[in-house]
Amino acid sequence: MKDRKTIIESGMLEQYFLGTLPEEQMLALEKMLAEDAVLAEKFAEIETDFENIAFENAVQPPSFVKENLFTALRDEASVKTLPKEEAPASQRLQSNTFMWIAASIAAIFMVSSLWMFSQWNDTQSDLQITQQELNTIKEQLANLEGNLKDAQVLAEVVKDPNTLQYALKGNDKIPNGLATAYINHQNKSAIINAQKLPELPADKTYQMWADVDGEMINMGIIDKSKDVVVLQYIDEATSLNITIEPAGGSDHATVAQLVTNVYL
Amino acid sequence: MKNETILIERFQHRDEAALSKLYDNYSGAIYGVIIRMCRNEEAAQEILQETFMKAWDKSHLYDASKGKFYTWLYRIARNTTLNFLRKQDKLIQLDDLSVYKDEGVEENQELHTELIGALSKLDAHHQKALRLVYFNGLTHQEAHEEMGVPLGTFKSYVRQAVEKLRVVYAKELLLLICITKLLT
Repeated sequence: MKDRKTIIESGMLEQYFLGTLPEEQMLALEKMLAEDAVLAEKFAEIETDFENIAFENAVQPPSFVKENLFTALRDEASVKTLPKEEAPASQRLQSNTFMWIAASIAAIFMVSSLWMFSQWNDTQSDLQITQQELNTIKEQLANLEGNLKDAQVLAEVVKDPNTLQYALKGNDKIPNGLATAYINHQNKSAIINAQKLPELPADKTYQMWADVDGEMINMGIIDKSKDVVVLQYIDEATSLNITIEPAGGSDHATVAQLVTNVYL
Repeated sequence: MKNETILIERFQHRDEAALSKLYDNYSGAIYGVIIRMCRNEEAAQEILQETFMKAWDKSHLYDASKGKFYTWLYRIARNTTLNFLRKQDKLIQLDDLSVYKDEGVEENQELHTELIGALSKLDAHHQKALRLVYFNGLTHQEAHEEMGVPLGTFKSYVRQAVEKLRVVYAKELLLLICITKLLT
């Protein structure tokens, strides 16, 4: 290949700019330009000179040319075919790079999809747990509401001046047992706080009775799980009695199982 | 320059907005070359459109390390115009240069193709040498025959013309700098 000076003086750079250099010389010159910074600088000057000439002698095309160009490009895009020209090695390398990038993106997409699926399953499981917890909280809330209601009922009864309070102390069957009854003859209400009665086996329950003319009238089963139990008010009762009965209660009092009573 | 690089990268990634901007930047310069080559306004408009369509389709082939964007675009325009001219007149033999030849000093005034700027300040033979290869699309071989001078002499004309142009541009740039400094 010629040296730098010969190339410059031979006018090859101008021919290369114009695109009129034979292919063999063009490839050799491109190689030299890539390696010789001075020659590349010289060529850049020639490019700038020719560009300046063109801009000095520019003629503005009508605006419809641009409009036609973009219309044609959009029409072409709808029936787009691959470029017929084979890309040079550097472009093929670039295409391969793009293929690798595309493959990498696809792989990342698959991994992230699996991860997301796993996350989704975990979320489903978490959701079930959360729902169970929510149900538990709802139950607890309902219990609390029940307790509050009981407390409110008790408070209303206690603060009523017409309410009479009776302490039912346990006999020798439940020596430390104690129940408190609140009877209001005006409102005809009967409430008992049985918290201090001892716990019974699961097959047993406390039941309250009103003695009316020597007959035990059922006032209701005492639910130990509640703080306050509302019972049936019985007119003309002379005493209140609590017996231990089989779970579910009895129609008739088992007097032998009387644990406490109080006269009104 | 950096903006131009970014614009070209966007263009190579099929960004129509970038194409639009590049068209605005270069269409006048390229159209000026095309219309002087084909001397037909309607044909020049079609060729300009085809040039930018080809540039769009082959944008991935532009390699900034091998030259400026204008150079790449100019070569596409030049080849497209020459192909168009060859197709236009099938009766003309491939070795008949008359289709490319400079048809005299008369310029088509209606097309406003007379050369202006620094080029018009060059000696007539330098001006003609550049016009033949740059604006008429002739090869050096064709152009030296057209000018009736040996190929070596013609090559010297082109090189000298480019160097003289550079001197004119340098003077103009210096003048511009002086005016700017005086104004500020």
